[in-house]
Amino acid sequence: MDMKAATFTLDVKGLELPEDVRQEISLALNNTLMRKLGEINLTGKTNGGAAATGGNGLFGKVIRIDGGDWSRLINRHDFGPIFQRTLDNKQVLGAGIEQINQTQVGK
Amino acid sequence: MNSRPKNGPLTTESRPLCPSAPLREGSQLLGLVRQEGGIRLLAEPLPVTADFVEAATATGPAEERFRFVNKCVEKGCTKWGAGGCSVVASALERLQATQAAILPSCGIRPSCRWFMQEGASACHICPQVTYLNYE
Ligand code: SF4
Repeated sequence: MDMKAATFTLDVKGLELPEDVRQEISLALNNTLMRKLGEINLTGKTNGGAAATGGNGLFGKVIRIDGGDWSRLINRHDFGPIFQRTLDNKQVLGAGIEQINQTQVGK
Repeated sequence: MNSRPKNGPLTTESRPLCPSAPLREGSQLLGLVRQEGGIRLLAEPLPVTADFVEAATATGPAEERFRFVNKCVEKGCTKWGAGGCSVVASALERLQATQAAILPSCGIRPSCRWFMQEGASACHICPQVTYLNYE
């Protein structure tokens, strides 16, 4: 799979718009981006099937965590905002995806 | 490892973060599970939106395709034990990471529970951990 940095710049030359309209468009673009991100499946499996555990052999094991455990949390109030940052166009479009190149060996 | 960074006092504002949390309120996108195994980490976690949640959960548990970060809830999690987070501890027992000099680029390192607990070793095995939601 040919992977490239997810950099998107939209420059509509000659078009001038009021701030509220620009913000509206920016929000709509963010929503589209986030929806498309949510659809991404790099696991090679369809229909939400379990991700590859061995792959090309470089990765010996993938640790899996029992989601049920985390879900049976004693204190539901522990959930909530973790970063007090607001979602804006700059933040979403500015985030890079880092390729991890590392050889891992299972025991 | 005897040179582990020590945790500071925990407050609601500066809570360590769990780098392998389920998709819940407050969770942010930390990485994408890839076909070869392992995770592509985002240099900065992304706040998830309603559109993302809808799309990510449409075909099954989002955690099988993504890694999320949320607050570490410590004793509120069954993976928490006397030595701290048992997930990273057991991952380190089961996986042997090559000690590459460069750590993966990661935007949550200063607040990451695994890094606080295990130091750089945690970052070497971190991309191999996938959260499987059995719910
Ligand atoms: S273990 Fe390291 S690479 Fe993984 S989330 Fe924590 S700081 Fe980032």
